Amino acid sequence: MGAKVMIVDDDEENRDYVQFTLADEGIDVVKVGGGAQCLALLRDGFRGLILLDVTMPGMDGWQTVKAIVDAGLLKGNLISMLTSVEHPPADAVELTSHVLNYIKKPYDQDKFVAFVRSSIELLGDGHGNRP
Amino acid sequence: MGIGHSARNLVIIGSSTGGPSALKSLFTLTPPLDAAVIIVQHMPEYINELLAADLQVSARMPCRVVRGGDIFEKGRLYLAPSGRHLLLGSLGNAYFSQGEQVNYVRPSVDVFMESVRRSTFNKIAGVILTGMGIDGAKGLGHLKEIGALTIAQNQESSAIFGMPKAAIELGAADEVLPLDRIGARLSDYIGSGSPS
Repeated sequence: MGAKVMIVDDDEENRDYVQFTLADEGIDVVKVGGGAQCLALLRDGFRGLILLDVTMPGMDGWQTVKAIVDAGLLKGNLISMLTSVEHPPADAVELTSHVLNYIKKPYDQDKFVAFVRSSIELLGDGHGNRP
Repeated sequence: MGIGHSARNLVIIGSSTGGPSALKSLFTLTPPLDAAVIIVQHMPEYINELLAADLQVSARMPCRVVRGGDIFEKGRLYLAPSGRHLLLGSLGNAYFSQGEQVNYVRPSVDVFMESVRRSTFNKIAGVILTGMGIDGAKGLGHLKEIGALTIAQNQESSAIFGMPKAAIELGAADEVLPLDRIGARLSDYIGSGSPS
């Protein structure tokens, strides 16, 4: 799997917007509509930056984070919430060590791209080698 | 483990969600400091070495993960490793505790900051950056009590304002600053040449 970025959002327009924004920068994105699909891709071997919407039917973003951690699928990934929700719920603090950023919509496009590039750089190739 | 020359000045930064980006920005704008800089960032273990390498590039200061027995040296950044609480001994030596999580995290910013004793250092500065929860608020309060300069990141520049807000509400922060002014403030304070 070549893509290093996964967008998890139940809204197709949001998914496409992220894809188009990053495609312009030469960054491939894989798109999924919910937490269950996110987990499936992780089991299939995806490793990279996971941009996670919060408000989704069924499994919300925070529940998805917990499911990723409980399934032992966090290693090698960097999770950032990408949401219009202003503040995380109080109990999200229990997941604080697993979520490395919280980006509020609407976001500055240049800063968003810089963050994505920086995250890909931070993760490297999974063997400590930076791109 | 090397025997280093203990730094006279200490900067301690606590951060969580939003921290890696904030730290990178902060250090890109900060000249190398005449202090040992210890960072307690809540993160998964596999990010430890990756973040250290990343910050070394941004900060133009050597950066590595703390090892037990380290004597913190000036002009260097140190990252607290995940899964253990980091503490500072009375001789300026780093050591670890395998105690329970504090504020849902391990390492806890509170635990490290509260272990710092004034007598070991000339100048101390404590900073709380973006993050959920309240970790670091009491710790920053302890640093303030022992005469440190204490700074909380402001709401506008924080990804999540929880930790800085908790520190501010506790009265622990001398100053509330946007991210892009924290580095300059640290540089002014550490570089002033006179004891506080």
